[in-house]
Amino acid sequence: MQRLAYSDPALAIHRLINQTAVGYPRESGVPELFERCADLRPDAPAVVQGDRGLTYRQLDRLANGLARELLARGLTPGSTVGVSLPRSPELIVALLAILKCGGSYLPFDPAYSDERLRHLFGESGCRWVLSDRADLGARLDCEVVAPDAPPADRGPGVAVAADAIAYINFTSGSTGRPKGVPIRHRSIARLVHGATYARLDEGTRLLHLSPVTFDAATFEIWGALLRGGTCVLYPDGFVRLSRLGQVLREHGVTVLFLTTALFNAVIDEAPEILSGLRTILTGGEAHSVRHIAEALRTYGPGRLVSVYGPTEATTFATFHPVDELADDVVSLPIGRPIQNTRLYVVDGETLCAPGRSGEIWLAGDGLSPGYLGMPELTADRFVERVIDGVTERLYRTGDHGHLLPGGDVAFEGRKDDQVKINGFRIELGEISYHLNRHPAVRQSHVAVSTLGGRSLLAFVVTDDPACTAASVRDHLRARLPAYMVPARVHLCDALPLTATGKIDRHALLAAHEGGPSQARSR
Amino acid sequence: MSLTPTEEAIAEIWTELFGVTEVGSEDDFFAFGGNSLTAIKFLARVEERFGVDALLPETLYEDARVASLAKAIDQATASATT
Repeated sequence: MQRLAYSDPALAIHRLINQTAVGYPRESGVPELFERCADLRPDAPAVVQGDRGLTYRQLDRLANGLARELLARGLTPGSTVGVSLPRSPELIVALLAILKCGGSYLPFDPAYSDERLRHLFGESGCRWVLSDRADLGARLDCEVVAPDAPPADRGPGVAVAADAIAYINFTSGSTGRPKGVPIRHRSIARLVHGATYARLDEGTRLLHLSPVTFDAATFEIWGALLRGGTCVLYPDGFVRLSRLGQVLREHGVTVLFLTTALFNAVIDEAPEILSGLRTILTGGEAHSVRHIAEALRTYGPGRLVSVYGPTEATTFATFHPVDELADDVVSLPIGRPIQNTRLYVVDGETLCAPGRSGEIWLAGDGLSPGYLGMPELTADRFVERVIDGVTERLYRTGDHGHLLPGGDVAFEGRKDDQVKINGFRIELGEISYHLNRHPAVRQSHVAVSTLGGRSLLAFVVTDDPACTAASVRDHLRARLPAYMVPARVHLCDALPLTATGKIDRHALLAAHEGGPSQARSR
Repeated sequence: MSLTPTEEAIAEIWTELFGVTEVGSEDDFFAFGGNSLTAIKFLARVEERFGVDALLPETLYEDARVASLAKAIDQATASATT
């Protein structure tokens, strides 16, 4: 087993920040943890949406009924079940029912292309879907079950191990194939028990706002339902700030998570809507210090927490309470590891002392067992090393940073082509892959424009006069989720090159930011 | 072609949001580079100006041209005051 080298100061600082162990039910599956809450306070509100709501007992009984229905129809424990339902009490019933069967849920957006969905279903061996849309059966060659079984007092009696897979999220992959990230029941328990980043208990009213296809939803749903709290469901498909303010106020929401981009929009447009919250969690991209400072002035200390974490380590890996901000601060640290999570800054095979840049490696019960059907990539990103005499399984995030003298981690960015746009994690290579398969595209380059907010931008070299920017976007739209389709596509005769023969990104962006006629092309 | 007062107001918001100088009545929010996040900002500014529910996200996602949006806002504000 390979050992990481370290100096005394490097070891000391890592020992300091990694004392995060707290007791938690690491041998219990999600159903058991939920049922414990339901037994303790059966009449407490579990889920609310508008004037609809389910108590813990009602939610438990509905999930029992649906779980039994699924098993009666032939689902076997360990199966993956696709879920496509609007944000609703039925969605929560469906997720819990799948877990009670010993299954794993795979949330998906039916707006994805057939090609993408078939890849998702193929990689995860998914033959079942819980949805109110019967047409998905023929489209995806799977069995569709509507989530409307009658409630039942008893569950299906399936023993669900803590290391079984609870859900699968897919994240962008630079080879053109999205990567399936399976997450264990234990990883969810690790996220919500003994939380250091927010108070999660019976008094917690947690907003579920994120698309369920993203792992922020793991926190939003189970952070309430495994702690005896209430999950408040945002009622509409589209977010509107006036509506968000109304929901937060009317349901007395205490905790919410906002992606960095949405947080910034709230601070710019309607900061007053968050004033009743106890804890505001935000993260996903590098923070804008101006917005953070504004928020701190508006809400005061003790309420704003910056969080960081890749899907592969289950939603959150580090947190940084923002209680004060020095005048000269230029960037906000991502802070220290959350409970039962360890973080190492590694350069080559050496632990970094404060100030030295390295890659951020994560360890602990939040780690995914690895990418579905991608053993090579898994072996590359998930590694084992001996550190300080202990063998750690580690996830190499690809994010770079350094430790500050006090132990907080400063984030530096990435060295590959993974970017975050409005909270969406995107590998530019996945977009290029599909661009280059367009018959008229000879060469392409995808970049991020910062003009008027961060957005994707594609440059396409074509000699086909029939090729239009609109047709290129249509081609991508048929293959990629909407958030991965570049807002603008520029057709050009050639890509500018630097003296060393590489694509001149600065020249391209300068051309893009040039005149309104350029910026207006689609 | 001259814009109606509501179209002018939309054009003004787009000028701030997208850093463009000219907006015509047939211009489209998403063609300007609008996305789900700029939509949230745009809707917030429309509501600030014309009142809550003046423009619903569903309307924006259906037809995002200036003229159509202005028409929807005019209809909503007219029915709100009668």
